[in-house]
Amino acid sequence: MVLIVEDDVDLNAAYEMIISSAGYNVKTAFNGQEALETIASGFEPDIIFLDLRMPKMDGIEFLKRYDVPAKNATVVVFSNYDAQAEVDKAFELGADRYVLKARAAPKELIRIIEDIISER
Amino acid sequence: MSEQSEETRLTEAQLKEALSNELVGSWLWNIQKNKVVTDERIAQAFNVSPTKALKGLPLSTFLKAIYLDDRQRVEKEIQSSLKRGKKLRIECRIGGPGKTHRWVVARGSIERDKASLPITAKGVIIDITDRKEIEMALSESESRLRFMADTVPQLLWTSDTEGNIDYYNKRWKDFTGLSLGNVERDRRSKLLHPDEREKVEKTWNHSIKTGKPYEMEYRLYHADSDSYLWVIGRAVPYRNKAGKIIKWYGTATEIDEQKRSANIQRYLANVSKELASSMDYETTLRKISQLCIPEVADWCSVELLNDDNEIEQVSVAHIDPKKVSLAKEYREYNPPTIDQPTGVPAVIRTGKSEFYPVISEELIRTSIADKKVRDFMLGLHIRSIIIAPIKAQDKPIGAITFVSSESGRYYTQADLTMAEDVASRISLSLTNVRLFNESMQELTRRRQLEKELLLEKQRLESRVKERTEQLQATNAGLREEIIKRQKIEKERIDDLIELNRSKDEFISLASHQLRTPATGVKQYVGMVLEGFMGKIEPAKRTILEKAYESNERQLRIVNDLLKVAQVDAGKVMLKKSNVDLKQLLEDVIREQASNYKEKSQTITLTNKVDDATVVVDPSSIRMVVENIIDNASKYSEEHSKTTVTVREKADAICIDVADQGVGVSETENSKLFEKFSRLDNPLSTKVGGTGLGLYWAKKIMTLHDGTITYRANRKKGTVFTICLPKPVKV
Repeated sequence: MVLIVEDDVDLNAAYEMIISSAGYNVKTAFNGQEALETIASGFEPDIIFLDLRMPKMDGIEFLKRYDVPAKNATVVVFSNYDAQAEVDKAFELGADRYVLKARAAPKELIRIIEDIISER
Repeated sequence: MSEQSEETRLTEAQLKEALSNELVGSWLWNIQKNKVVTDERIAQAFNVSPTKALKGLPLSTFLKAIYLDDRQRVEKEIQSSLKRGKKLRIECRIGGPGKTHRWVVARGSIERDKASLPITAKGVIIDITDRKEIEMALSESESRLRFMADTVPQLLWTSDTEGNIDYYNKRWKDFTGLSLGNVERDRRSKLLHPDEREKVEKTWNHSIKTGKPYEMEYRLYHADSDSYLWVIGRAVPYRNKAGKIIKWYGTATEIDEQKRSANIQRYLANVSKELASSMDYETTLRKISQLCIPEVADWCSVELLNDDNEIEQVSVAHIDPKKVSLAKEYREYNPPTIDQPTGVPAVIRTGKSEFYPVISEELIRTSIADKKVRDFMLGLHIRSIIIAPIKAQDKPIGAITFVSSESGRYYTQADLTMAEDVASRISLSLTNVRLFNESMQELTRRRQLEKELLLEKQRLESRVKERTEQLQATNAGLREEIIKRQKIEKERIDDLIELNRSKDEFISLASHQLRTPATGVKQYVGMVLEGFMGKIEPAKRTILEKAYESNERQLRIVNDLLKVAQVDAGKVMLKKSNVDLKQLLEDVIREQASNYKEKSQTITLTNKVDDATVVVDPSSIRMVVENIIDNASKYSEEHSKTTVTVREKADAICIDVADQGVGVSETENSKLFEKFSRLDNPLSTKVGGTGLGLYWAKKIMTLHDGTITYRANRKKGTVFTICLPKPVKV
């Protein structure tokens, strides 16, 4: 089960489309708070694609609250070239991987999911 | 014996007292009958029976009582008294064995008949033992006194109350060579030095008149040296019990040595004082020659060599000015020449003193040829001459001459020592004066220079001051202007900084906003192209691919803009860790292999370093390397070769990326690392760079204390080199 946390509506939809079309169970959230709510509502994600800069609650705050090490989910943060510091922070809080948003083509996302699953 | 009688007379007062001694008795002598009648006391004194004596006894009986030593004389005296005269006076000693002797005197008168034959004599006998003893004692002490008087070193004399000298001791006679008899006559002419004669007479007369003792120094004629020597003379009166002066005792002690030595010492002290007090040495030398007159010398002259090497008389002194001018006259008449064998020229030539302790007339007669000069010299009555050299810096340059004449003294070794002492003091002073004068000249020159310098300095200072004032006025205006402008400038800078910051912020914000939609495009077009929506026709695919590529470029631009904005704003935080550059290069090359493959390009990695580990921020360095390797491919034609080399410098690990691409023209290479620099080359349009990659790379390298440089490849293309400092070894 994949949770996509992305504030941009179009991107959120694109990621959902890509991942679900590959046959994975996907839920989306538009900020950290929504993500926490989704999880709280009983959705236990295996993989979380987490954008860092979001309104209401950003990715870092989400990670602080979600307590990654205690959970089952693998967190993949969407990164940008100018966001190295935030990525580092995210890794400290338990994020496992990062994806350069501007670089990652649709297939790349699928490959990442497959990688994580195969590692398990 | 006249002296002795004088001495006897001296004791008259005492004798008179002694004469009040007791009367022994009276006697009567009948000369015709040769019977002497005496009273009882005489009989006792003469040791005869008083009763017989009253009847009369022959003279011889009485004579037996007289001392044997005196008896014969007494008999003779009696006989001679009887022959003539009316008086009889006989002294003798009487007294026999077991009795102390007594002195008696028989006095009497003689009666004669008409034929003048003595008939009777009568008189008294007086005991004069006391008187006689005193007389004897006196006589003895007198001779002791005489002996003493002749042995003491002093000259002694005595005089009567009128001042007539009645005694001189032997030393006095030896000293003056005069006997008592001719003293009075010679006294005025020779005994006393003419200079003190009057003073001595006056003092002596005063003492006689007042009875006050005197003590004074004067010069007394000394026979051996035929000169006057200084003595200290004293005279004290001798008074009797009544306090009346009955005699004068006088002494004279020779003090010539002390006196001379004192004079010399005083003169030397004065010389030193003069030398110390003046720097005008001619005046000083004149003073020095005058100061020694008359105590040390009668004549004194100083001569110095002048600039023409002539002996010039600086000064000549004598107590009589007339004599001085006369001496000068003679000197002019007969000037000394430096080659003379003796005298001042010789002393100046040799630097050695000359000493003539005794100048005899004969010497003058034989040594001076010129009659006029000789007569002049003879008239001077010269006794001794000393000439001592004067030197300056050890070189003889003159002489000082001391002459003894009128004073009648002869110079001794002590005077020579004195003269040389004076000369050496003058020499020392002259040396000092010369040195001083030299220093003074030097000093004057320096002072002049200093004065000029000071003037120049003052001129300069006033000019500087003038200009400073002008400048200050100008400066004040300028300062105001500067402050005004600085303020404006600061405001402008602040504005610009603010503007720049807001611009950066704007770029950052805009880019960020642009990026998300572009990412959306990428995902959606990507999905189509990657077949998420089913198969697509090749013509449609080509179009979609162009759209995808265009979007990719936009994303790159946006990302580059964001990166640069970050680095310009100083927001880049380097997170350093050990990075193996070789490993990093292999990774990057592997990742970019597909790009190279697409253009049939080859890329090779050569490692020349054992340990390529550096301490850097991995992600940013990786991006720099990616950038360069990406560029190498992009700006090269197909089938070209790119060579990557890792090498080592002393303090850095360097990566060379050499391509065979389009290269950079020389005119443009300076702009290579500037922001938004797009170079004009055949591939630039096609590549679509942002002009930000190398600018950012350079900034990152600088943050790492590293470098990024560029040079043209040997045949074609470029070589980019990045160097990173080696880790500091612990």
